[in-house]
Amino acid sequence: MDKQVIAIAGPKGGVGKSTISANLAAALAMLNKKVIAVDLDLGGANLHTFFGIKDTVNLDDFILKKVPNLSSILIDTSIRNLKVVCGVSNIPGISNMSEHQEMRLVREVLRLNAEIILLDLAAGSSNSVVDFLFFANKGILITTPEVNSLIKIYSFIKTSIYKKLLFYFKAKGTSELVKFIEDAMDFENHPQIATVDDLFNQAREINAQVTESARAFIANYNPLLVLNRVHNLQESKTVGNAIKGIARRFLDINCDVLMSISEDTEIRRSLAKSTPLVTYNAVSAFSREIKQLALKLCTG
Amino acid sequence: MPESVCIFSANAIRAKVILHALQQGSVSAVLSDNRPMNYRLSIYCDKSDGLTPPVISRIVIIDAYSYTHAELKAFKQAASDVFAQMHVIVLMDSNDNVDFDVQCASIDFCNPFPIDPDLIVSKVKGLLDSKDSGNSQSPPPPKDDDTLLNNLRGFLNLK
Repeated sequence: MDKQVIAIAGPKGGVGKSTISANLAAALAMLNKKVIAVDLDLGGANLHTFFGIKDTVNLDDFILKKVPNLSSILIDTSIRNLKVVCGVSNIPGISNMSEHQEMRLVREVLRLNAEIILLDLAAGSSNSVVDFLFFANKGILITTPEVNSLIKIYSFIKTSIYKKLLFYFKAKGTSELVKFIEDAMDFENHPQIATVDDLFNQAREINAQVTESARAFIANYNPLLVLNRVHNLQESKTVGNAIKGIARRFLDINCDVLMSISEDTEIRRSLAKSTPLVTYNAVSAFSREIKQLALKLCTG
Repeated sequence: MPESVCIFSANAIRAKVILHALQQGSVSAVLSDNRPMNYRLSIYCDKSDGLTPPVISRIVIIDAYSYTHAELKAFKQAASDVFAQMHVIVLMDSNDNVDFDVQCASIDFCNPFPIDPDLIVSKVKGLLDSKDSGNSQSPPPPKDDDTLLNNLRGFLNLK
């Protein structure tokens, strides 16, 4: 079975990441895809609430090794084709997961039996969030159109580029470049590296050949943005152009808006019902746009 | 002065519920001015007969739930000319697969059954507020590409 892993990240909290995750998972299941949604928001799991799931097994049981694998804690939802792995609730400090724990979790996620595995990641740009995003076939960044949310998106993309380069240089066994990137990730103390182009120019002086291959590697990085709570088409275009412009100019990558999703008052009602809006109101603006997003992800 | 909202419904009771809710919410509204209300809607855009004034409200509410599929089809054909500059709110069943995409300034949908007057009023007021703010004497500075881009570059210290 072809397996697709879709990671949903939202660098700023409260941008509607879990709402989109729950509804997108439901929409994909309604397209007859076998879907498993995994709540990896380790510090603030709430995906289960969108499906009315209470008091059940969750990632606590897997992390504490009470169960051998994630399949043991899969929960059926009322939506055909959709199962959920509920998030952590009671393990202090779990958001700073060790590398070993993280790898065990990633391995088990990839073993899940589904056509689409949808990961609802935590807010912020912690190591585990960026790592999970890299393991996915498609990483989607959720933002609202406000400046404070866009600042977080930019910082997230910049951090993820540096982490990608770190992995790349480690894989190439170039310890000097690894050290260079680790130092450069202290952004405050390296104001002279204003752009990714500046970064590559300095890296070239250490190892030109590996740096040039890294440049080509990063050029293929194309974060997919979903703008949430957009009020009109003009706003969507304005925000899309701004993010695209600074990503091109300062990060040397293309960053496209995959979908704009309208502000919709129906969402509040769906939260009160603990049911994804797409499952019972197919004509709301939000539902129609989430279905379009699901179709794009299936076909793109 | 045109009414703010024009309501189309083939069901007189539902139409009056919506009208009453809007009036209670201090929104001026009118029912479509032809009787009976399930008249052939396509007539509405024929301005040459001298009987049917052009729709001048900026917001129209279409109770699609109350019309037959044939009437909706006629409505859609008529609406393509009339509603281009208008905001349309459609009351339509989520399970109804009728394609009802009309050319208009904006389109929004509400569940038709049970009818939810509060939701309809809130959507209408939202549209009126955005329209009013757009017409006010001293609007906030437009959030154009340059403004947002400059703000972002400033906050991110990107020279």
